[in-house]
Amino acid sequence: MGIYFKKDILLFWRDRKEVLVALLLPIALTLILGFALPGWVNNSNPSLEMKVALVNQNRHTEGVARFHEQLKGSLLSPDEQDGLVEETAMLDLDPEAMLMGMFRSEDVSRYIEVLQLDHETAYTKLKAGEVTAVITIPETYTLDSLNKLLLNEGDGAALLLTAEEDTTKVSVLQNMLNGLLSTVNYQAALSHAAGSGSDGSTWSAPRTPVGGLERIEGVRMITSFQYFAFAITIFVTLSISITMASKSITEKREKVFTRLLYSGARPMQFQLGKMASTFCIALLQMLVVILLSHVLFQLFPGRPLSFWLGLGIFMVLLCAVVAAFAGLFTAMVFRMKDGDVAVGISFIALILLGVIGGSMVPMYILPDWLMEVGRLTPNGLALTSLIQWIQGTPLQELWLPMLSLGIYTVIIMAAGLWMFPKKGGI
Amino acid sequence: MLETVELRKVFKGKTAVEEVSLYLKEGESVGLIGPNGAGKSTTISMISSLLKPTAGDVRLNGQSVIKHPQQLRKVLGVVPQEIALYEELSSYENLKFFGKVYGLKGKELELKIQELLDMVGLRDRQKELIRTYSGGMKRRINIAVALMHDPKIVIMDEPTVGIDPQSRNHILDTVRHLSREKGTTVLYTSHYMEEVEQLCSRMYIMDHGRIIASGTKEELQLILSGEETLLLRLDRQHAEFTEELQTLAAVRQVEETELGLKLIVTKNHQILSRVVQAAERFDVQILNIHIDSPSLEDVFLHLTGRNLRD
Ligand SMILES: Nc1ncnc2c1ncn2[C@@H]1O[C@H](COP(=O)(O)OP(=O)(O)O)[C@@H](O)[C@H]1O
Ligand SMILES: [Mg+2]
Repeated sequence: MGIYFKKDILLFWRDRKEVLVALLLPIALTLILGFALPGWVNNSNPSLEMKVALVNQNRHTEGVARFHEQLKGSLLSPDEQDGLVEETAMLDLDPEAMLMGMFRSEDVSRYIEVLQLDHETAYTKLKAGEVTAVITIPETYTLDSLNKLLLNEGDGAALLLTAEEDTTKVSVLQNMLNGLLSTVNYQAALSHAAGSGSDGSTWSAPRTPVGGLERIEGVRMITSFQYFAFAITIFVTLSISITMASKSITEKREKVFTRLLYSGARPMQFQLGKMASTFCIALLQMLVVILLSHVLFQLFPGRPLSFWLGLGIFMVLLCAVVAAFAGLFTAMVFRMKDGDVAVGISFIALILLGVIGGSMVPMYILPDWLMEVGRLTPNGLALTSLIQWIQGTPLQELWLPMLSLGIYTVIIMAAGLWMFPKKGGI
Repeated sequence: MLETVELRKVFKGKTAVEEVSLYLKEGESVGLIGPNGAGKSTTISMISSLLKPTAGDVRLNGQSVIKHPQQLRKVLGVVPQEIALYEELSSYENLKFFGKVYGLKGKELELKIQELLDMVGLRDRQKELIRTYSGGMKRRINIAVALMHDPKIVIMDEPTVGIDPQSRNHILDTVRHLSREKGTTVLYTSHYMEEVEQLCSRMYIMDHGRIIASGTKEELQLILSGEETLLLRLDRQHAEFTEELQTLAAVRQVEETELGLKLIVTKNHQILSRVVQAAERFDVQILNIHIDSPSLEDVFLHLTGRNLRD
């Protein structure tokens, strides 16, 4: 088998055109699509309608009281203390009212429905997929805000946004909250500046007393560059199976395969060599493309080694499927009268997989049932699990797609071996 | 050493090979000659157990090899009619690959590669890709590959089709070398009679799937021993004259040549005068008459009624 393996690697390497296509095409496409469609990620949905849970845990009165107590214990003069207490009363710090105000506004209420819930119900609904995200106003919101705003102490208050999946909806929500918070911060800073007697016109850089929006673990955005880098690379990697199989057209037409049979060579070894070489070439191609894209587009800055290892596992699984495909397509080339027809059929099959598996067009333009089927294709499986991995889903939760990829490999490989002519008969 | 017993192959109702029985003795060079489509390649495929015969048997030292071809494959080298090489690999890489398939390795492999490259005269171009070779050079490597495992029996299927004279001479030398220096048994297929005449001690003539004659050159020429060839150089071709000659009892065959006519005639004292008389009657001038014993090509023509090549 090693002999055939070397031969196939050499043949692939000799065809520089193929090598360049396999490496440059995905990078070029990622570059173009990454810039052309920056906002588009896999899970985008044309409809932004969503339900959002709002959990208000803020203890406003208690917060104000604690702030006043803190003032008493501070080194500030009684005058200053009185001034600040007065200001507290003037500031309108009710975050729930502010959020509800936004959600009730006409254009937002058209697509976002807010449910004011307690913590537990909210998270149950989130798990059940009944709400897209949970916005939590933490207990110490008022206190943290006052500290930051009036005394410039602490990090300020934050809202918590929790979502199960990272989707466009969530990022839309996130953008909206960010927008709201900066307005609030601006107003708060302004009123504080005015309240403290300074001239409003000399007011300069806004501080950010109310803090930012905090996103909690499990929710990482996937950038369009990350998405395209994988969607496209997966497809190009898949197509390597055809490149490798099509070499057999020549081996068949020019009778080198016949010549191998003269020697008493076992056809299965020939096919196994083809699969092994495809596996290595595919894996190498994927690694090079992803690493190059990482360098060029800063795909995954600062991710730990374990993250990269996880990527590696999925790439290995995908490449095993690609290798099995190469074996199957090779068998088809030998079995069918016209090898070019066999390659043509393989190519059509691959395009279909590419289209429904999200490698070529946004999955969401497909009807729902097809989208479901698409997620089950080997490339669809690899793509969705890679995305989930990038978004921080732990590996244990991804065993099903991993197992499925393994099963694909075994089935496709078995079909290829079964189909391959055993001996003679050519 | 190797024999076939009444081989027969039918492709979808069309018989390609019928009752082909031939044998090769150890160390012998034997020719298999016949026009295109005669069934030579099909016969070879069956001998090398790539194609299952519809009927008949192939035997190596008396043992059937149809079911268990391993023994034969070890000692048999087949040079296919097509150039079965990797175009994108160099000749060195091709030899190495096929050598390894035959289980050669290490120093032995390297030595064999260089020996064969020497033999076919391409040692200094071994690093170049087959793609860049001329047709003749490809044919030479095509042969070398089949010799990697030092086969005792070599079957060559038309190894000199459409190549330059230099490569052709190389190939003929290679075959001679194999048979004389190494005692290799050779079955040489061709549709060039003169190659087979030069290389082989015996030959089989094949047409329409059957062997129609066999023997040494002399034995085959005996088929036409009662005949001779008349080469007439004429000032012009004349259809009626040609027809007239065909009616003569002694004339077996008439063929137009570039300069006149070629007749195969039964040895007969009166034939010359009859021909001359006819020429006078049709006002055709005979510039020259050459009388010869018939060649093997004539034998072939006689047996099949057609030329080896069109
Ligand atoms: N695989 C095949 N299927 C059908 N007919 C075939 C096949 N191979 C050869 N033939 C036919 O068998 C005859 C003998 O062919 P072949 O052995 O190649 O002749 P040769 O080598 O003497 O030129 C031809 O008429 C050819 O068309
Ligand atoms: Mg032939």
